Amino acid sequence: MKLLFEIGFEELPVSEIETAVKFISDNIKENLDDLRINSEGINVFSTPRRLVLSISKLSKKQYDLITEICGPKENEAFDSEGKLTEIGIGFLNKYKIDPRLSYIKEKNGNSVLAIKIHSKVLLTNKIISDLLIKIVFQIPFTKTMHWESSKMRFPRPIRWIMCLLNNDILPLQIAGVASSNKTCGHRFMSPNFQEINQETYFEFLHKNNVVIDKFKRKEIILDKAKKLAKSIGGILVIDESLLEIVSNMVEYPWPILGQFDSKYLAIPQEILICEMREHQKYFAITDINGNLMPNFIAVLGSKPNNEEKIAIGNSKVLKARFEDGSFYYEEDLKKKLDEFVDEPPEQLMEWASLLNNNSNLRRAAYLSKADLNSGIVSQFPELQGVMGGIYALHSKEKQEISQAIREQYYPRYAGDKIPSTLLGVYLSLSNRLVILHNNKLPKGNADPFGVRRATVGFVKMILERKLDIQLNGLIADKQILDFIMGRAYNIFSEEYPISIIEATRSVSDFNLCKWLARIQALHDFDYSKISAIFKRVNNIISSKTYLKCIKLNLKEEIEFKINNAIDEIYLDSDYKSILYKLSSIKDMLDKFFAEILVMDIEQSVQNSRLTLLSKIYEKIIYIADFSKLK
Amino acid sequence: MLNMLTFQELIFALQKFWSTQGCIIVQPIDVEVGAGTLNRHTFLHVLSKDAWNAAYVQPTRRPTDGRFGKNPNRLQHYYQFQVILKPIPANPQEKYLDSLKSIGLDLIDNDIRFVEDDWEHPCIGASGLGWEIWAQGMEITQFTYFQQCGGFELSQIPCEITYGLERLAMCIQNVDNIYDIIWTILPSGQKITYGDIHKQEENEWSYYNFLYADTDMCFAHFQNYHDQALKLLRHGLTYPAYEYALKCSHLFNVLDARLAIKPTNRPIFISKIRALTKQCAIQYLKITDTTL
Repeated sequence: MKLLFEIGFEELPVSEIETAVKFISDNIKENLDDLRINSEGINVFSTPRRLVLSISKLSKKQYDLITEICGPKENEAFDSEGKLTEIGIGFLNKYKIDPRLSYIKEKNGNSVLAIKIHSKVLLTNKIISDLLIKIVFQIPFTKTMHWESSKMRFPRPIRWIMCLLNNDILPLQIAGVASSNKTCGHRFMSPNFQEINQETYFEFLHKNNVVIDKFKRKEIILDKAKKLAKSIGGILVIDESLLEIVSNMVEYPWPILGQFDSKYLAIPQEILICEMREHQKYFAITDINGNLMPNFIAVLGSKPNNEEKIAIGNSKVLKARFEDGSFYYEEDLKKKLDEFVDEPPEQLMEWASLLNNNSNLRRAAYLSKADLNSGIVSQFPELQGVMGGIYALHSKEKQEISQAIREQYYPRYAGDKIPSTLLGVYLSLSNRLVILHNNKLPKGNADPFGVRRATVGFVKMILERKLDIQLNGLIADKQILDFIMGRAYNIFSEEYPISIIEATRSVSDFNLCKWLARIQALHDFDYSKISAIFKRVNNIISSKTYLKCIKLNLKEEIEFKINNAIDEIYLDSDYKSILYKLSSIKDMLDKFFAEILVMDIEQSVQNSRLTLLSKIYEKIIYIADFSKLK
Repeated sequence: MLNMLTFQELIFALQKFWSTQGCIIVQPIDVEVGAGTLNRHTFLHVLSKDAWNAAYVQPTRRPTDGRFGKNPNRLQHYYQFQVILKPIPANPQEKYLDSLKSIGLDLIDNDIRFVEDDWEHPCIGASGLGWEIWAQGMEITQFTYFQQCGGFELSQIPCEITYGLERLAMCIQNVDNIYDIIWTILPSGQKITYGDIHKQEENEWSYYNFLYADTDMCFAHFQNYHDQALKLLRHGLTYPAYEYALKCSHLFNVLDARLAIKPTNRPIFISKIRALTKQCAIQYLKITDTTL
């Protein structure tokens, strides 16, 4: 059987369409399996006005299901004469099973009375409508409303339902709307409802100006927008998230080229691009050098009769937006950036000074939140940081301070760049320390306040910039420390074996860079040969009590050799060479353990030898806890 | 030129259209409001379960939107045409689109679009889901299915259609600037523009809103009006109390334009106004809805 199910509604918000498509795609197959209906060729399509589920093959009925049920033990189900007891009869009656169909079965060493139940087999057309209704009701939309007497909740009113099983109407009702075999085309270009069937549906949509496949709409938009940009010698600024939004806003995409007065190019281009994207959903165009051109691409929702008129109309709106942008911008420029500082961000400044006590960083931190009080940022919150940087330059702040303010929120997402200057990195680290201390630490996968994302960025900056920061000297809160260490652990585990990460964790003293350097040194080193002997040293030292000698009472030549070799090892950050030197005493140690008794009867000799081993141990534990290595 | 509606004809046409659809044509409220929704014909009437279909022009003030008469489509004083339909008719979007056709707007050649825009007005505890409607990329209407008003979940959902009359006129008359809208053509043939009627006052009010409104006075009035509203509520006088709440709301907007209210204090002012409007809603329901 074939199923075609279309819900038509008033224009749904972009994010809700995405939610619906994802939910249905993720769940329909499993739901059908649960219902014991075989299915193949499932497709989910969407436009702002419709959600379509098409299944090219459905079994006509449920497949057979036989379930075995075990009942009472044999000696309880039957009396000594082999007759069914009340217990036995009760069990069979409960399932309405003829005693002749029951049997005895071994289960967990017991003989029990068992039966087989054949589940009822229902026809697909009797049960699938309930499934469709259920799945529509379960879509986890973010914001819903009600509008009719059944009080069903959906993001916007549902207006029609087309549902065909093969070519029969599958009767069902949602929010007071009954299913039919009719659908309509584009809202303005072909609005009439018509009867369709399995064979004509997609053809009907195509002829009636509905591009049902979002990816096809994306392709149309991108293709034409690029051509339009090229026609004026420009390059389309491809904004993936904007493309996603725009392709979900129309049933019939029609990109057009518009232009605006080049005098607006005097406004920082970040503002212009933001105005175009956020308010108007227009794409920007740059020349080959990356400078913004006074043009834009608007994506219409229908094919216009007079393209030029609409292009002019759209540019009028943009002009008003730019006028507004320049109004706020010029108002903002009347003040210096520090005049926007309402209440200095004390907490942030404190973290900054703890990270690096330097006057530029102090100034950058002091000014960093000032742009939140500016007109432009009140209109475009996503320009925070960027505007602060621009206004800092206008206010004759130092270039590096401006740059740091501008990039203070980098990295904003996984894979984003980190601030290009050290000052910017310190400012960004300070921001994240504030976030960590002002919010609950996230559990599980949820990250409502972006604490996890902020922390991952925090760790990445420290590692990329190789910042020598001992975190427990900076952060007092044990839970926060552990949370940061946990993020670092996760980052490391993407590249290195867990045992190495664990063996080096506690010895690295909350210094992420030193932790990573130890991991790398060990990872590049074949420690398998030395690991056993180091574990032996470790075991002896930790199991014996002894008095540490200030002056060693050494006797044998091998002891002197080892002592000299150990004294040659300096505990600096060249972990590789330490490892190399340590491994070079391995043969000496073998000889030592073979020829010498550590626990000599003479107390001072014994103490001396244990002290010698503890000297070795100190060098080993400086690199890693070998007992944790595999 | 002759075939196109003037600003005043646009109002006549919309009144006629919605009157034919069964709406009572009521008149604006004579207190400064920031939206047609605040007019008692919407705010109070949507609260009850009874049917209510009404339409009216509402002069609207948004002090922060003033641009000294210099922005081509932003004003601190403008006109909304408000339609409220309760219960929702079978196909409200189609009705709305018919109204556009009735004023001569071609739906395809204006690229009419329903763009998601959920609406919320915290001062009156109102919110709803809907769209801003674009014509050639310009927002000409706000279309909302109310879900809450006065802090109450509504049992009978109304549909609110709010046209921005100036934006609509710009579209119909194909002008670039609000002030060039033809308001009317006199029998003598003389054209009266929107600018003739409003430009000078836009400029003056912008100065008032941004620079000269006496903030001490506004704060004092806010307090006085707030106290008056409370007193009126105690006497069971819902309508007068509601108007005093509206006066508070306008003063709040003026103070906001003057940047006199710290961001941290805004919620305090908003919740004061909301508490008043909520009380008004409760009292209104007591009078009209015996089931409460």
